[in-house]
Amino acid sequence: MKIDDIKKQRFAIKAPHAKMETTMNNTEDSIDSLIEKLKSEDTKLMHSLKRALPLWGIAAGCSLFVTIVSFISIMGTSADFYAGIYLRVLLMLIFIGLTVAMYLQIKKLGTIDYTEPVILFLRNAVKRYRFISLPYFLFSIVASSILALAASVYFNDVLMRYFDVSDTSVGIIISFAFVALVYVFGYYATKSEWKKSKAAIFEEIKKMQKELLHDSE
Amino acid sequence: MEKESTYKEIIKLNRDRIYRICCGYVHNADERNDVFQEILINIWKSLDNFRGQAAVSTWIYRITVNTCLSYLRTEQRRNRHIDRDASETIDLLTEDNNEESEEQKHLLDRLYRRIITLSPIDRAVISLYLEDVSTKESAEILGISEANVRVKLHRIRKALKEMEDDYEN
Repeated sequence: MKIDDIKKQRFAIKAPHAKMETTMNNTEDSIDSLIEKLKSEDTKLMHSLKRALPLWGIAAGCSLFVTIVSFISIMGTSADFYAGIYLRVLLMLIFIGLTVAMYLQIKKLGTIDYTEPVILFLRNAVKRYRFISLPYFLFSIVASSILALAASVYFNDVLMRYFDVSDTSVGIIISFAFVALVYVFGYYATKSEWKKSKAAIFEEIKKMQKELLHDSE
Repeated sequence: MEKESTYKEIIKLNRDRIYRICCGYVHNADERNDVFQEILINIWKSLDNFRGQAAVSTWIYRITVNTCLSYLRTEQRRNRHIDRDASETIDLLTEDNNEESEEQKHLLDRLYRRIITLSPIDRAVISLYLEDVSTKESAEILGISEANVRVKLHRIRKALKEMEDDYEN
């Protein structure tokens, strides 16, 4: 059997009619029915997006409210407010910037583009399946730092009230240590989950990617 | 309406070649039909974004190969065994059912049993070659250089020949 000899014979293979209309007799009817099905799927998708819109609005409003309140609480209670204001404003700006970057990245990766060349398709698949992206990693670090700063207000209050410790740096250190502990635990828990559910697929995609670039000379 | 008529035209002209590529990826007839359906759906979904930057055939082949590769990933996610021994006979639909056609089916079955043992990327390369897609277009579909496609093709054809020699001996 030579590949080129069989090449023409291969053209005898015919596609079946779309599964959803095995009762249909000709291709034309079959495609019409498939189109109807696809259009109804499109409508369903639009409806679900419309339904999700108010929820997105509420979630965004809540997040903004919590961010502003936590920021104001830091401003009002911290004794060395002016000393740390630049750091806090900087952190907040980085936080907002990273949130936008992450949103754009998720939006881009969320819609799979099957029309891309295979190499790009695999590259994006790697991004979708990898453990953690750099913007997400930075985002989690900055978000945790903001959380630690906010929590330090509470720790300082407790230290002052019950242990008579007035040095605010102690509260900040405890707060950062606590958040760092939670962060490390969360990191390993997420990594273990990723290993279970996505690592094998990730490796498979990487293998395909490597293979595609192999043989290039 | 314009989208519908374009879609109809595209599917009418390309359905068999799409299906033939699926044969190189999915052995089981039912699963192959599912993947074929998914490709038709992905073509519909992608049609709005088609601006004619690439030839329609290049565009169709990209969707087909990418959907087939995604199918293999889904199989992996479900921890299902991806049939690489190709022990099952491939259920292929051909136009006629005479004796000659039976022999043809047998030949095609042997070919696909071999193709399915190749790696996912090699399957794409050989499937495109069997569809008479030029090296230039294959390179555009895969996003690699023409030289790379040629080297891969040479290697795959050699591997398939070795399999055939083993079978004959």
